[in-house]
Amino acid sequence: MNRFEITLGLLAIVGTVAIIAAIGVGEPQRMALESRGWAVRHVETGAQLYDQYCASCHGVNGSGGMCPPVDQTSGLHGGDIGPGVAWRLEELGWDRQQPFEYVYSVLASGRAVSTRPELYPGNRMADTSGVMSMPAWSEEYGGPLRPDQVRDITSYIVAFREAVPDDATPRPWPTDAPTERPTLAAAAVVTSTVASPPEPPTAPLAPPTATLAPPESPTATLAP
Amino acid sequence: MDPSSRLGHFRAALEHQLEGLRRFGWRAFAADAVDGAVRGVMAGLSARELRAILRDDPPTERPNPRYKAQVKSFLLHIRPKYYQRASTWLTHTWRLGWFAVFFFLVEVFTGVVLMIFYAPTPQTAYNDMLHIMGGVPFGLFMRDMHRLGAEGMVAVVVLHMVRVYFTGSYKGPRRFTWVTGVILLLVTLVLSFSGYLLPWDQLAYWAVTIGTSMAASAPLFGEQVNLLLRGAPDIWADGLLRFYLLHVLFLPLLAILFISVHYYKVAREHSISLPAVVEEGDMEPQARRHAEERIDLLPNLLLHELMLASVALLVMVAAVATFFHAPLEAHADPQVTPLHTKAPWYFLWLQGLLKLGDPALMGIVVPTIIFAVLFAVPWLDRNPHRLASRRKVAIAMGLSSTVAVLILSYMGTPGFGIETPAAQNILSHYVPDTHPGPVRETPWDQIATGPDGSRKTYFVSYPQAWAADAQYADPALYEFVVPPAPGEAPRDAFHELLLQFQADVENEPTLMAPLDGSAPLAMVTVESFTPQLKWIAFTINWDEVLTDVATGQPVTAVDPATGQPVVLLKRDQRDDGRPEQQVKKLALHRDANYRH
Amino acid sequence: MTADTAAIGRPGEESEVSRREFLNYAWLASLGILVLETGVLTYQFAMPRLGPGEFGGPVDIGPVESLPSAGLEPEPFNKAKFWWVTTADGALALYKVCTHLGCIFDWKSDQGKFICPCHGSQFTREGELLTGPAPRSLDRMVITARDGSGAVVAETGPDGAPVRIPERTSVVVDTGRIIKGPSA
Repeated sequence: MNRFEITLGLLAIVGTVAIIAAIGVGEPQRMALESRGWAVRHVETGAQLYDQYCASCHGVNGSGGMCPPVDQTSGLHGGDIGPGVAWRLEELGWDRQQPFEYVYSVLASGRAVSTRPELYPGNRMADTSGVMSMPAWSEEYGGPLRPDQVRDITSYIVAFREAVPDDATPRPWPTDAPTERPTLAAAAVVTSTVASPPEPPTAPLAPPTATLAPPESPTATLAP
Repeated sequence: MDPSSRLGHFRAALEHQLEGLRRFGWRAFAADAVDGAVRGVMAGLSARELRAILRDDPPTERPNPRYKAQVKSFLLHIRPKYYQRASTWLTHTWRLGWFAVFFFLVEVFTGVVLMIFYAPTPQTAYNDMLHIMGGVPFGLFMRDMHRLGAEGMVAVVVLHMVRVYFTGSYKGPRRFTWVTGVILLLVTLVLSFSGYLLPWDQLAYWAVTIGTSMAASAPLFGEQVNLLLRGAPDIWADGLLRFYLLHVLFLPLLAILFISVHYYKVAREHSISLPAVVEEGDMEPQARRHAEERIDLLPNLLLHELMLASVALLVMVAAVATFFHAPLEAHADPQVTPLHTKAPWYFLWLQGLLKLGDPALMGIVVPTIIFAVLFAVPWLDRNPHRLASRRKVAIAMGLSSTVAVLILSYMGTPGFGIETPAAQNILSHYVPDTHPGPVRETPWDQIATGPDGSRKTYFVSYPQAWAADAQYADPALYEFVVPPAPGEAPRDAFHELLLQFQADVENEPTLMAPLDGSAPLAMVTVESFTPQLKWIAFTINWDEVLTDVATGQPVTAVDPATGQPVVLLKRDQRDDGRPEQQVKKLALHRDANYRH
Repeated sequence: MTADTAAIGRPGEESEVSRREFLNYAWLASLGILVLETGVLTYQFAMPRLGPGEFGGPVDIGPVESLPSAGLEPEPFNKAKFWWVTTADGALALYKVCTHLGCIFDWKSDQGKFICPCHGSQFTREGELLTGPAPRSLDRMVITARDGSGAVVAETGPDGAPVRIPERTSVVVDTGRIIKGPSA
């Protein structure tokens, strides 16, 4: 054991202690950023799942359609002030600070009947009677999604709260109800957030040559 | 009072103590008591002796209390009392065996700590990982240390085996030790594999699914082994629990058992080998005597080991604090296999083998043969010499095996030998399934939407006529991506990313831009409905030759105007006549952190 | 030779097995049987048992009328992990797990074939291997069609060929019986 080794060992331990202390000092901020970062990843995943499964009924940006809006700028019940979910919880006598589990339960187990059938018939169309007005989505109730996926969609919906400024004007409910219940065929299908290819230029291009030379085989091997 | 009764004995002892106190004074009495306590804890070494050790002085008592300590202490008795000098040369062993135990201890410590916050069920596992990484002080630190220690342990164990092979230290009395060593290599690999599943993300789930599928293809008992490991035909709750039990209980116990057997042989029976040049080579008698001289474990070698541990810890902690972070992908999804699933680096050789042929042959039979040969090395090698110059065949075989493993590992990387359609491949670089990717790591503010979150379209690759079209004149809603002038840099990271996308698409020979210019080859749209969430979509529109599904040959028809044969495009078969399109889109939140 | 050493004797010279020795052998043998039995017991304990409806057992997919008819796109049954494909010759239940290394492959309707994301193996609608590192065509599950009385009226043969399903039958796909596809 020479002094070089002792010094090296000493410096190594001092260095380790210093680094760990430095990590420790930054921990509270890092944890806050990181848990927020992971929480919003749930929102992102939920957004993509919503786009895939829910947008056709509830609207591309949660603004509603055949089914009630979920962007919390309008009430889910009555025509009064949003944010809708908290208001609804209050009306039911539940804790309005806990919207997550309520929304999760609706998504997971679905709704047998619409709460405003004249405005939002939901899944229950004239020619598919017997179907639930909102299907159950969680595997636990026979739906196609895993519980963690349903929780992600719930995170997305609950996160709309953050987008609503405190002084937002609540959007009023539509006052005129449709006279007939819409059919599946007539239901407006709102497609996803990406449109089909944009319109080509108005000035016509030169037409392509009639004979197409066969291009290289598309099954070329890819470079590693 | 009767001195032979219990109470009598106690009283007599007490009186004896008090007598000593009276005669020698309380100071000496206390010093004696402390000395006794120190000796009791430190296996007979007094405080004075400890000081002498730290000063590198000779022992303070006879007989040498340092040797006695190795008899009295359980922990120390496992170690040899002395080593021959040459066996401690750094360049002989590189201390790899020692580091293997070091990493094992790091893993046990960090692993047990992580167990506090982890429950092995599909409902909890992923969220527990998120909690550890974001909600527990030093949680990320512990997880990254655990991952780094695991990779270090696999690397060190493999290197240790390679070293033992090349120094010929598996011959003679060391044959059984070699066998236990190969068992430990297997245990280490399975420990790493079983732990890999626990984060329960897509990477974990599919890497282990593929690995156990290989086991299923084994002849005879493959199906049963697969079912036992997974607890069900597919990995889900049962599989996770079984892998967890393997990882935290069964395999560590096996490891401790075999490490004990392995090290007992090393420390007690045949010791660390001397370098072959000392044993067999030409050395000056003086030099040889020096090389074979004994060095005591206590104190110098033990302190040397403490120094190694200190330095290794510093390196690990520095790595974890800066660049080394264990990844976490999306939640495990048994319905969707992500593109470009990659095995961990120490299994790339296996993935390379699998690309060569039948999974049962390449995944089971060949590795079994490899390990059988490894086990049998001490008996296959009939050459009694250890000196490299006298065992050229063994050295050559060792070198060529190492090279073969490296080549197989290269072949195991995702880019090698995999055909993916061009559009899908390019899009997966920007919106990957397996890691955040460059788009998510671009600063949020640089990814601009139109006014008030309306859709902004970036035309990345387009017919020139489009740039002049009036309907796309508004720069707030439409941008035509052009490379910057020579000498100028892209305006920001997002612009650079768009330019990269442009280059990828335009340099891909198998992607034909739509022939009638009815759609841009590549474009990106950005829009947001709420201030915190942006929707970013990458689109590629292309024309593709219609090929017969069975033969792969282009389908031809006769052009009615010219009578010449023409190749049909896929779009000719569709009512709307639109070109092929592939879209990959993602939702990006303002507060998302994609540092890892 | 003293009386003591005579009593000890020389090893290996006893010709008859003493009672003690015999009893010891019997005991060792019974211990060996116990070890084996414990092994079998543990194996049976640890081997999973498959319930109905779960993957690994038979899955009832309902009356044949509710399944897609010939020529249409394959229909996925995600929990049971197969694609239902109706061909001109009958129905196939193609196992969703790629025959190469166990990844789940997708139906690409624009290209008219199954493509695996892991290493790019491609298969036709009927499950035939087109290209890629997969060693064989897609595996099939055994389809059983029962009529109203529960009698089996159609079942996939051991070669895994498409099976015609008569009307008014209910279909069960046995996810535990998987027939390997023909080698490329």
